[in-house]
This record gives sequence, C-alpha cells and structure tokens, in this order.
Amino acid sequence: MIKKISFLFAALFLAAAYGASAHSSLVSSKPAANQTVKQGRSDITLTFDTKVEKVMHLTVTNQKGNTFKTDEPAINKDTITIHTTKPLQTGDYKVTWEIIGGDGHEVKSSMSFKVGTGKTSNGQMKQTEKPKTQSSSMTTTEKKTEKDEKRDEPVFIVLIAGLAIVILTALFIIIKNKRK
Amino acid sequence: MTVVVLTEFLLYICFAVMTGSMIIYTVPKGRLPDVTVPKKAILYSIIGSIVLSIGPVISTIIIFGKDIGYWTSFKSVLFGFDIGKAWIFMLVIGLLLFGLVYFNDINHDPFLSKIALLLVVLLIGGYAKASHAASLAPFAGFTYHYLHLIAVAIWGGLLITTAWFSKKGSNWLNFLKWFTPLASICLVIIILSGILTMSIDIAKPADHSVRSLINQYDHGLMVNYGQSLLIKHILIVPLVIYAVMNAFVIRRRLKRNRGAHPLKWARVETIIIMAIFSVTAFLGQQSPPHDIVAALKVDGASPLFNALYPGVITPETTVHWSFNLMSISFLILGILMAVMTTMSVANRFTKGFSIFLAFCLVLSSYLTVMLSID
Repeated sequence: MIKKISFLFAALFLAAAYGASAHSSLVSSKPAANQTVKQGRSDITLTFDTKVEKVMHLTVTNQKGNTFKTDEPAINKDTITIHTTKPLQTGDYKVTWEIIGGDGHEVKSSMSFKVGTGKTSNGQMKQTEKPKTQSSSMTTTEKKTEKDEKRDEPVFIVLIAGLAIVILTALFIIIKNKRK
Repeated sequence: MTVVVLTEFLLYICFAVMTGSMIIYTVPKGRLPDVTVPKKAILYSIIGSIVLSIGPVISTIIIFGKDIGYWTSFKSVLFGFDIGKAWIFMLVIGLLLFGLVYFNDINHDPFLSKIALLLVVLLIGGYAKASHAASLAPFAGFTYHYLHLIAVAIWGGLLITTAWFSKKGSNWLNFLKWFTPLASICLVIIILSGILTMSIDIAKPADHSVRSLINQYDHGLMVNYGQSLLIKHILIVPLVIYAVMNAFVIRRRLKRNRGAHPLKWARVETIIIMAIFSVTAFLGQQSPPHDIVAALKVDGASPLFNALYPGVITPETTVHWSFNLMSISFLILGILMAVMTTMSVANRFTKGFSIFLAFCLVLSSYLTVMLSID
C-alpha cells in the first residue's frame, strides 16, 4: 500500500512538470507597440505586469526577417532593456521574446514598431485598432440573424423539457413523502 | 496539463485534510463528533502537500534547462526564483510538520497540536507566495490569496475531515454549535478575499477600476479562464444551500431527535466543495485574461464559449448582454432547481438525486448566463 502510494506520488511529481501557460503580459514598451520612432535609435524597453525572472530569448527582426545583434538583455524587476549593436534604420521591426515570469510560467509573445525617417507618431496602437473594431461590428450585425437561428436549436428545448421532468420527479417524491 | 489539474486538485485535498485534522486535534473531544483521522492519512497529506506543490518548479526547470543545462537550471530556479524559494520554504516547514506528527502523539498533546496547526498555516503561506496574484502584486496579491486559502482550508478542511472520518456523527449538535459560526465567518472571508484576488488576477494591466474589472470578467468569458471562473462562482449557490440546510434544518432535526443524518448531508456538501476544488485546479492552469485580445490570438476562444456563442469569434469580439426567452426559461428552471435542492435535504432524498438536482441547478444557471450573451 505504502509502495503504491509512494509510486503514485512519484509519478504525479514527474508528470506535474508538464504544463505551462502564458501568464505575464506586456504592459508598456519603448518604442510603444505600432509606434513610429526616429531612426538611429538603439534601445528597446519592455515593461511587464509581473516580475521577470529570466529572459530565455529576445530577438529583434526586421520585415525581411534579418535578426539584429543585441547586447545581453538587462532585467530590472518587471522591465527588460536591450540595445541593438547598430542603430536601427528605417523599416518595420518586430521584437519577439520568451521570458519566465514571477510565477514561474513561460511566456512567448511579440511586439512591432516602425522606424521612420523623421516624423514620429505615438498612440498609433489605438488608431490602428479602431478600424478593425468597426469592421468587426459590421460582421457581428451580419451574424445576428444567424445567431437567432442557432439559439432556437432543438437541443435547448429538449434540455428545458428534461429539466422540467427532473423538477416534476422531485415534486412527486416530496408529495409521496408527505402522504406517508 | 490534465495531470497538473489532477495534482493541484489533490494538493487542495491535502491542504484541507491537514488543516482539518490539526484543528480537530486542538479542539476538546467533547465538542467534536466521533471523528478519528488516522495518523497515516495526515502523514500522507503532508507528503502530498510538499510533493504536489513542486509541479510549477519542475516545469520551470525543464523549460529553462533546455537552454542552459538542467543542473544550472535546477540551482537557479530553486534558489533564485520566487517560486523556487517558496517551495523550499514549504519543504522545510513540511518536513518539520512531518517529524512533529510522526514522532509524537499529537492527538493527545494540546500544545504540540497547536504548533502543528501553526506550521500548516505557514505551509499554506508558501503556496500563496508562489501564486499568480502574488507575482502581480507582491503584498496585496499575496495577502488576499493567503486569506482565501486559509479560510477555505479551515471551513472545507474541517468539513471534509469530520464528514469522511466520522463513523456515526454522534455528538454532531455540539460540533455544530461552534462550527456554524466559524464556517459563516470563513464564507464571508472567502467571498471578500476571492473578489479581491480575482480583481488582481484578471485585471487589465494598469487599470484597476471596478468598471474595468466587470468588463474583464464578462469579456474573460470568451476564454477558458473566464468560463471556469463563472462555473466556480455558480457552484457557490448549491454550496451555500447545503451549508445553510446543514446549519439549520439538520440542527433542528437533531434537537428534536428526528432521525437526522448529519454525516450524509455533510458529505454531500463536501462533494460540492470538491467540485469547486477541481474547477479551481483547472482555472489555475489557464492564462488569466489580462489582455483579452492577445489571449484570444494566442490561446483562442474557449470551446464552451465557442459552442454557445452564435457568431464567429474574432479577437475584437465584444460581449453584450440581453435577456431572451431562452435565457429566461433557464433562469426560471434554475430557481426551481434551487428550491428542489433545498427541499431535497428536508425530504430525505437520496444523496445521488440531491447532487443531481444541484448539478441541474448549476447547468441551468450557467445556461442562463451564457444564453444572455448577445
């Protein structure tokens, strides 16, 4: 018996190791997501909502898929700072990371920004997302008619009938008990 | 992941048994039912608490070890990371507790049993330190989650141990005299600390307003985390029904000496508690919906939400509420199910049928909510 239980514990102990999900998420960054910044910049800062325990991978790539050399990422509590070896030239950039957050969960995600010739923009994140929500609200209105049909599915009617029978059965038992 | 859900569930049971039996040991025998927790069960629950809480640590060591080698990773995670340090703390406390219980007859030693209870409280603190809420808000997150765990361990633990380790349930009335007020206090703490922990766990980064929390909650329903949170919250309804019936109806019956079956209904209540434990175990392995748009992109929508939501889910989908004939039908059925579940205790239904009614109650309430989403 003891052997069996010990074995069970050992098995669970090993098996418990598999299973992780994204927990720590990006709160802000410099450059901000989808922002356009001046060329010549070389530092990138990422701030998360939890402490960052370890940076597994952090790469900066451009639209062609070229990876830029960076120095070792520096962690300060919830913030990661990196510097690219060469200043960034005009183009689209993507920062991809794989970190371990304060609760021990591994997180993989990415963020994009642009490097422009002179003009800078900020808060573009909201601007670019707005048209998307508009188009999606259009599609949801289209879906509404389809939805009503789906909700009338006989499954729910059968379920309602089934639950009603359960209630009647319970009532029947109660009445029978009272008569005894 | 399925395995981690199982280990977490078993871990909660271990915490409960440990806490419950230690409280039983500190309380004078005259105020307890005929409960005897075998020493072996306590020792296993202590070992379980240590072993089953190492899951996240091992998982981090493995992820990390792929890159830097397992030995370096092992040292770094165990001694450098917050979760590693929290687990070492649990290991030390757990071993002390094991020694204390193993080498002493703490059942008959009021002083040592109090020390043991203190160690259990510390051990659970280690677990709270490694939680998601504590990583987001080191002080508040830890405090709320810790209070939540302790209150659950006291109420659930006492109920599980007395319900399953008693033989006849004699002297139950004397037990209820102090257990009912204690359980009521615990319930209030559980609800308050639960809401506060949730407000940290599902918060949108850098926005902690109540409005944002409500928005996070209903939009969170699109992913597995929000779905399991909703089911967990609905399960509180049958739990409170059984708790109230156990506290008042069973007590009245015991007073009048009318063949009450306190153990039977206490066990039914623990089954609901265990259902909540298993939903929580599942919940803990899902990504909290801090950023719903990103969560939908990365993990996709919850299969349950997908099945019940009529439209196509895109990351920009928003949740709107409106009652309709279908959801109102389920609301009425839900209310009737709640009445029937309540009546089932007073009318001596079988355990199985009563639990089935509670299940129907949860199902109806769940569908009321889900079918109200427009």
